[in-house]
Amino acid sequence: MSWQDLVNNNLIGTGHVSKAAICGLDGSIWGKSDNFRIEPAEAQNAAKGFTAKDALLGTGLRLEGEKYFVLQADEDRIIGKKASNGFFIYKTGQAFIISIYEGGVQPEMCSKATGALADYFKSINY
Amino acid sequence: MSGGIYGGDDVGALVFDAGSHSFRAGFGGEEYPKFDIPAHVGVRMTVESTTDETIEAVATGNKPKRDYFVGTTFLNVPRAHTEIDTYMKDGLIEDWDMFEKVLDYLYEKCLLAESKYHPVLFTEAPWNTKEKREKLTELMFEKYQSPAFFVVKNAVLSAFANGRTGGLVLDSGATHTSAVPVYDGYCLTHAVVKSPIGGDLVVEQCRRVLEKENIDIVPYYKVASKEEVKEGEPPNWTLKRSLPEVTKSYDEYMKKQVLEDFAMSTLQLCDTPIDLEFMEKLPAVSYGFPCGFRKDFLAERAKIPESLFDLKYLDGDGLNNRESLMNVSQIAATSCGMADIDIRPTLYSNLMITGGNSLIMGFTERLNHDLAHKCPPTIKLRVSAAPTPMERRYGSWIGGSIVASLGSFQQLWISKNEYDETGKIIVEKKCP
Repeated sequence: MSWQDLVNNNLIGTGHVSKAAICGLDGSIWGKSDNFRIEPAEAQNAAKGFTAKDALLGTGLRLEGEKYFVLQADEDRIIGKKASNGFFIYKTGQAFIISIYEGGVQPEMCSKATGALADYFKSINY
Repeated sequence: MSGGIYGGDDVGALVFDAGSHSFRAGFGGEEYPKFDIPAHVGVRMTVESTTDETIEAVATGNKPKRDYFVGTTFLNVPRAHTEIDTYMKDGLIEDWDMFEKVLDYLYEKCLLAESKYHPVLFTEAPWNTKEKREKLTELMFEKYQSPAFFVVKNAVLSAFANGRTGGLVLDSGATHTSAVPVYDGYCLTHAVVKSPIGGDLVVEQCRRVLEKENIDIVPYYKVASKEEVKEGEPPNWTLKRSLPEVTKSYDEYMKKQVLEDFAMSTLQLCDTPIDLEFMEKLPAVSYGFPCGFRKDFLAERAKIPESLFDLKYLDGDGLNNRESLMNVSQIAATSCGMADIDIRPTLYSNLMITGGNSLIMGFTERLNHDLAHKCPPTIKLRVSAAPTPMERRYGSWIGGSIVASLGSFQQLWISKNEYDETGKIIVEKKCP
């Protein structure tokens, strides 16, 4: 099961996630959905967000060049929003999973799907 | 694997709003909560002792039994050995056994509903911890077998009740005042600022002022009869005979009721920081105490609540952490300052005031004035507050009622199936 497959099946496949990526904690992108134009610099920024929360909370997070307001950031999860789209970033042992929902997808369902995959990762020590 | 659709019309959802002063409960979709019970519970420890030593329990020692008295009718009866305790601390549920008894009382005596037929929506403080949320989830699903459950932050619900999805919610309640920025239905938890000033502090200040003027606060349970006296004259009342020996906490609680009533009727805030001229021009308000004593109050009416906005007026002997206290306008300004710079204009132009303590006359005008001075001149400041006292006190409950009856919300509940599958951590995932 490659990272790409995991992204496509367990995240996009559920219908609750529009775009997703799995990245290592150093910011390297392990796998992402084809429609997600995430820059490596943005992934690194997100990775730093888990350690330096306040910087992110004040300035927001850019994904695909668009700025999202960061609403909540704790050790396991960052929530962000921009109008009716938003993202959830769940952190696991060695990676973090970014999921973006847009165009009518329910945020809570996106959170649930991403969280479920994150829990699975934690259980297999990733 | 959907959450199941819980029909809005057929099965009514219950909305519970646990606050430090009172617990509001009622059915979703209604305008106001049907039940508003105090957050204090009478606890009586009775030691059951019999002299029959053939019973094992007795042979090993006496077993203490606890009786709980919930709700105004049961709570206010003077009883011996009954302490008045609260299960809330800092806006969060602290004593779970007591809280369970409160829920039992609500289900059996007030709502007259079986818990397993009604989905439950709970409100929570924005600083609620993960452990407490999970514990609440566990309690509702395991003990009460609720078919569905959800928790929402009370600031978000207050915003909804005011007809908005974003803005700064300034909640001035009994134990503390907090400023919570809400954006698009989400709380910015890192920018939440709270200070332990609130209704209880005001009541405490009232007590000190009355003590200094040598006015004896007699709670009404002691008064058997009283006679009318002229204003300022010493009261003429008789003590009730055959009163049981009540505990100190009960006496304090009953005195607090008198003080709360006094605070609600007499206090008024000045529009601008207080000055002598205002205090002289302030009309006097006459207040009659339960023992029959009447007095006119002039300057104290403005001085006491002034401590909410200007800490210099706070009578602080014996109060700890006085230096770390912030006044109400500082709380609001700091919270806005901690939020993302692009959101700040939205927060300032959508400032919502809610909470029982904000009902003091002149609160909104004073806050408006103080904030206008604090925030940058370019920003448009608009402070809004619900007009009626009921809407201010029950703001977050009303928001919960709105949410529970929305069609689009019905898929979002955490159903019992999901809980059984995933466990209590599901609350962290599904409830933002």
